[in-house]
Amino acid sequence: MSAEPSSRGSLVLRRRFLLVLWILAGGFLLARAVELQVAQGAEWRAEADRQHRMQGEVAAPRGSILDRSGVPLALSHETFRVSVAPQELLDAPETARALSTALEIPADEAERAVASDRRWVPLPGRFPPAAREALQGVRGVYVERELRRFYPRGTLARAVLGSVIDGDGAGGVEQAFDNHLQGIPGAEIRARDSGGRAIPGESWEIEPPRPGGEVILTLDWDLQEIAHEALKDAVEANQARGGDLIVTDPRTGEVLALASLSEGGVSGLGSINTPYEPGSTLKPFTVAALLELDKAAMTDSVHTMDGRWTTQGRTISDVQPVGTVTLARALQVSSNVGIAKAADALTPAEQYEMLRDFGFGVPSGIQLVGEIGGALRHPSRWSRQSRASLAIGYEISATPIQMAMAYGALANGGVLMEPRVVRELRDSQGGVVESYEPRAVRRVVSEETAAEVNRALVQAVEEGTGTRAGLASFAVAGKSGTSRAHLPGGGYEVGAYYSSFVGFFPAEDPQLVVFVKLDRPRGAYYGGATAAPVTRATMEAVLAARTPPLDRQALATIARAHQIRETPGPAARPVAVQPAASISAGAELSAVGVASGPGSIPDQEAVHLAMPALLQPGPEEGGLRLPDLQGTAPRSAARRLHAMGLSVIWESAGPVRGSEPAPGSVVVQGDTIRLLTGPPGLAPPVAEGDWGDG
Amino acid sequence: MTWFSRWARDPVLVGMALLLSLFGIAMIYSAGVLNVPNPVTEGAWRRQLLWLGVALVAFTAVSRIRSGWIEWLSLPAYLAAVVLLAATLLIGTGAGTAEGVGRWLQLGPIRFQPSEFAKIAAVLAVAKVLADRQHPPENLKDLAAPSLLIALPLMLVVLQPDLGTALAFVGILFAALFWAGTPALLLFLLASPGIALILAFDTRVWSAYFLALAAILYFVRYRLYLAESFVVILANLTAGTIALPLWTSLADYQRNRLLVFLDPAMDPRGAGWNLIQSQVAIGSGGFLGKGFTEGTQKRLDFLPEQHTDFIFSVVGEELGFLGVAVALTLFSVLLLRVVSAAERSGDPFAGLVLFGIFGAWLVHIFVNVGMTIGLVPITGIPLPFLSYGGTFLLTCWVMAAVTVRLAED
Repeated sequence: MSAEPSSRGSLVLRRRFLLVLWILAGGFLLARAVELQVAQGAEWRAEADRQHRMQGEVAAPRGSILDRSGVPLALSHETFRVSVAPQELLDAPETARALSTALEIPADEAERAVASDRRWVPLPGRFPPAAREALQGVRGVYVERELRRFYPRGTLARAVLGSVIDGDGAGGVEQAFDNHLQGIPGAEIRARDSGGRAIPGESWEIEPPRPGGEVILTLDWDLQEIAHEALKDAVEANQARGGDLIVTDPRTGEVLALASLSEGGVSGLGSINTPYEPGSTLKPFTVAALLELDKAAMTDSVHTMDGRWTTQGRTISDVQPVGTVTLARALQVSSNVGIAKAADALTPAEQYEMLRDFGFGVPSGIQLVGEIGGALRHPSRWSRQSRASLAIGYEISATPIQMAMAYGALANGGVLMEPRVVRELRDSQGGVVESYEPRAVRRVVSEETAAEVNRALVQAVEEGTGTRAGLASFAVAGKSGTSRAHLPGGGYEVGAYYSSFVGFFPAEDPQLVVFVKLDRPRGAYYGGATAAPVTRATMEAVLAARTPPLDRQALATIARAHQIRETPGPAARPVAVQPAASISAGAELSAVGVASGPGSIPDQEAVHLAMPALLQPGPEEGGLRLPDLQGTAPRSAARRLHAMGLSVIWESAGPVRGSEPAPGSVVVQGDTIRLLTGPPGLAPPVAEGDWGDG
Repeated sequence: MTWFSRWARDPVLVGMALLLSLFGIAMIYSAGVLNVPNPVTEGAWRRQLLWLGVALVAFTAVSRIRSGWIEWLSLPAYLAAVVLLAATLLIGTGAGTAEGVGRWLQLGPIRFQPSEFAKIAAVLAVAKVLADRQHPPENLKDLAAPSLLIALPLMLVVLQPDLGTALAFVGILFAALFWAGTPALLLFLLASPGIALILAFDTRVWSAYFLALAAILYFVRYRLYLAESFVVILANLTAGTIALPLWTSLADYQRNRLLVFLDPAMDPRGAGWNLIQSQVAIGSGGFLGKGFTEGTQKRLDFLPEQHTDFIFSVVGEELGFLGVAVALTLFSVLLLRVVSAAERSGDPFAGLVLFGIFGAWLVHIFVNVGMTIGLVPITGIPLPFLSYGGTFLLTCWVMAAVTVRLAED
C-alpha cells in the first residue's frame, strides 16, 4: 500500500482514483437528477401545481330582470380593469400604442403607465369586453374581469327589484329569484405565491361560467313610472308621510305596478309588508258576505238612526246622518251605522270565513320575500264589539296587496287570484324555463254577488258627481276609506289617518285595479279627497300611456256603448265647476257638483274622482293651449299632457324638439299629441341608471 | 482565439470557468424575475457582473506572478487568513440572506468573507507543508501537522457558524493528503473519528462499526505503532461518547436541517421547506424545464435563497434536466482539467495545491448540488462560479489563476 511519491505509476493510479471518485459523485448527482426530473417529473410537477395553483370561481353573469314587455330593469355589466407590469414588457412603446387604441385612452397616459418604475400599474377606470379581446396575450398587460349590477331605469322600482350584495340578491325579486338569476360559477386556476396570495393576471379558465336566467316581471315599466310619479306627487301635495300605489290586473292577478314610499321619500315594500286597518274600504266585503249568504239584499232598508248607534257598549257614528237608506246606498255613502247594523245578520263564523276567503289574515302568496299576512283574529278571540268593528274595517289589518287582490275578486266576478310579480323565468338563451300562469285561489262569491257589489261601487264613484268624463267615457267602480293610524306601541295616533281608495275600471269588464293609500296626509285626510284623485290620475295616465297592458278592443266596445247611452258633447269636455254652496262642514270633501245629484248627502267617504286639470278651463271655451315642451324628456312631457287629458305618442327617448300640433295650438281633451323627439342619446340612459352593489 | 489562449494560459479550464460564470449571471438574473417583488434578488445580477470584472482582473494578475512567490506567500497568507477569521468572530457582520451570521468583514465600502480567502490560504499552506516532506506520510504522526493546519481555520469557520465552508476544508485536507501519497488506510483512520461521530446516532450501528475498526487495527497491527492504534481507538470512543452532547449543543436550525433530511415531512413549512421546495422546483422542471425566467416555484416565492445557495434549483426548474446535465458537464470538464494539470506539473507543491483546489471544488459542487436534489442534508454552501456572492466568485477565479499558473511550471 505504501506508495512512492515520485513513481509515475502511483500517480496515474491516484489520478484514476480521483477520476473515479468524481465520476461516482457526478454520476450519483446525475442519477438523482434523472430520478427527480425524468422519472418523477410528472409527480413533482403535480406537486408544484398543487402548491402554486388554486382553483377559483369565475362569477357567472347574473340574469337580467325585464318588465312584461322586455324593458330591462336590472342588467349585469361585464367590465374589465386593466393593469400593466412595466418590467415584463418586451416592447414598451408598442404596448403603449396597443393600450391607447384598445382602451381609447390618451397616448400620454398609456406611455406614462408603461414607463413607470413601479412593478404594477393599474389603469384608472373600467373597460368594455372589447378591451379584453384586444389585449389578449399582450405580454405584461393584465386584464381582470369584474361583474357589476346595473339598473338602467334607476331607482324607481328598486324596492321591487331588490339589490345585490356580494353576489347575493338582497330583497325584492333579486332575493326571491336569486337561485335562478345567479347562474353557475365557472372555475379557473389561479397562481398563488408561497404566502397563499393570488397573483393578479395569472389565471386560466377551465370551465366557463353559466350565466343566470332572466326574470320577466308582470310589472309594466310605463305603469310603474306613472304609479311612482302619481304617488310621489300625491304624497308631496298632501304632505303625507308616505303611501302605496298598486295597479293589478284583476283577471290574472298580475301586478302591473307596485310603488311604496315611506318617510323621506324612500321606496320600500310597504305594499306587502306593512298592514294597516283598512277601514271603510273593507265595507264592500261585508256587503258581499250579506248578499252571498242571502242575509240581505241591496234593496233592503237600513235605519241609520241619527247617525249614532250604540251596540255592545260601543257607539258607532256617521259623519252625517243619512236616515233610512237601502243597503246599496249605505255602502255608497259609507254609512258606518248602516253597514254595522246590516252585518248583525252575519254570525261571527260567517263573517270570519268570508273575510278569510277574500284573502285576509293570510299572506297573499306574492313572489317576494318578506310578505306579512296581516291580522284577522279567529272568532274565539273576538270581543263583543268585534263583529261591528270588523264590518266597517277595524280590528283587522291588511296589506295593500291583500286589499288589491280582494278588490280584484269583486272586479273579476268573484274569484280571488294569487298576486304575481313574476311572469316567466327564462334561461340565458331566452328559452322559457317556467311560466307562472294565473292562479285562482278560490271562488269567494258568486258572479251575481260580485256584480251587485260592483254596481253599488260604481254608484259610490259616480253618485252626484257627473265628472265621469274625466276617464274618457269609462265607468269606474271604487271605494274610499279613511282609517286612523296606529301608534307603534298600540292605540291610535291623534289626528293621524290613512286615506285610501281602491278602484277598478272599466266597471263593466274591469281590466285594472288601482289601490292608493296615503299615510297621514295633512289637511284633507278623507280618502275620497286625497287618495281618489290619485287613482283617477293614475287611470288617466294609464289610458294615455304608449303601450298600456290594456285590452284596447274591449275598451273600445265599452266606450262605444257609453257614447250611445250618454249624451255626447259636454260630458266629454272639461267642465268648469263652481264649488256648490250646499257643501256641509266637511268642505274638504270638495263635493264637486253635489247639487246636480238629487238627494246626495256629503259623506266622509263620498267619492269624487275630480282631476285638477279637468277643472281648469282652457284659454278658450272648451279648449286647451298646448304648452311648449321643447327640451324636456318625452316622459315628463307626456306626463304633463296626460294631466291635461291628452293622449301622447312619441318615438324615441331623445329630448323633445317640438310637437304636432305645434306648441300654442288649441286642442281639446282626448286629442292625440305627437311629440317630435330627437335621436336617442346614449342608450341605455346610463346617467339615470343606478349601479348595484354587485 | 489566440488572444484568449494567451490571456487564459489554459483556454479549456478558463473557458469552462467563464462559461460557468456567465451561466451563473444569467441564472441570477432569472432569480430576480419574480411575481413577488424582492429588491435583494432583483439587482443581484448586476452586482455579480461587476464582481466578475474584478475577478477577471484578479485572474489576470495572479496568473502572471511567479510561482515561487506563490509558494513563498503560502505561510504568511495562512497566518493572515487565521487572523482575519478570528477577527470575524469579534467584528463580523451578516449580509443579504445570511443576515444573522457574522461571516463578513466590512472594509470601507467593501465587504468580504475571510473564510473564502482562508480556503486558498489553507490549500497553499497544506501543500507547502506536505511538499517540504521528503517522503509521503507513513504514519498518523506524519498527518498531524497538515491536519492541525486545516483544523485551526476549520474550527474558526465552524464557530462563525458556517458548516458548509468547513466541509470544504475537509475536502482540501483529504485531497492534498491523498495526492501526497498517504496510504488509504491512514486516510481511513484519520477519518474514522468523524465516521464514528456520524454512526453514533444508533448505538448498535456504532458498536458494529467499532468492532470492525478494532478488527482492522488488529490485522494491520504490524504497520502501526501501538500508540497510534491506541489514539485511533481513543478518538473513536471519544467521538462516540461526545456525539450526544455535541448534538444537543448544535443550534436548533442545524439540528433540524439534519433531522428533516431524514424525514422532510417532519416540518414541511419550517426546516423541511428548503429541502422540499428545491426538489419540487427541480423535479417539476422535468426534462426540458419551464423556460428561462419562467420557473413558477421561483417566481411565486416558493424557492428559498434562489440566487445564492439554491441557484442550481433555478437551473433545474427552468432549464430542466438538460440544463442540469450541461452544468454538470461544464463542472466535470473543469475538474478533469485541474486533475490533468496537476498531473502535468512536475513540482510536488504545485500538484498538491491543484489537488487541494480540486478537493475544495469537488466538495462544493457535490454538497451544493446534492442538497438541491435531496441527496445530502442542507448546508449553507454555494456553488462555484454560479452562486451569487462576490468574494466567493473572486476566490474561485483566484483558484483558477493559481491552477493555471502552477500548471505551467
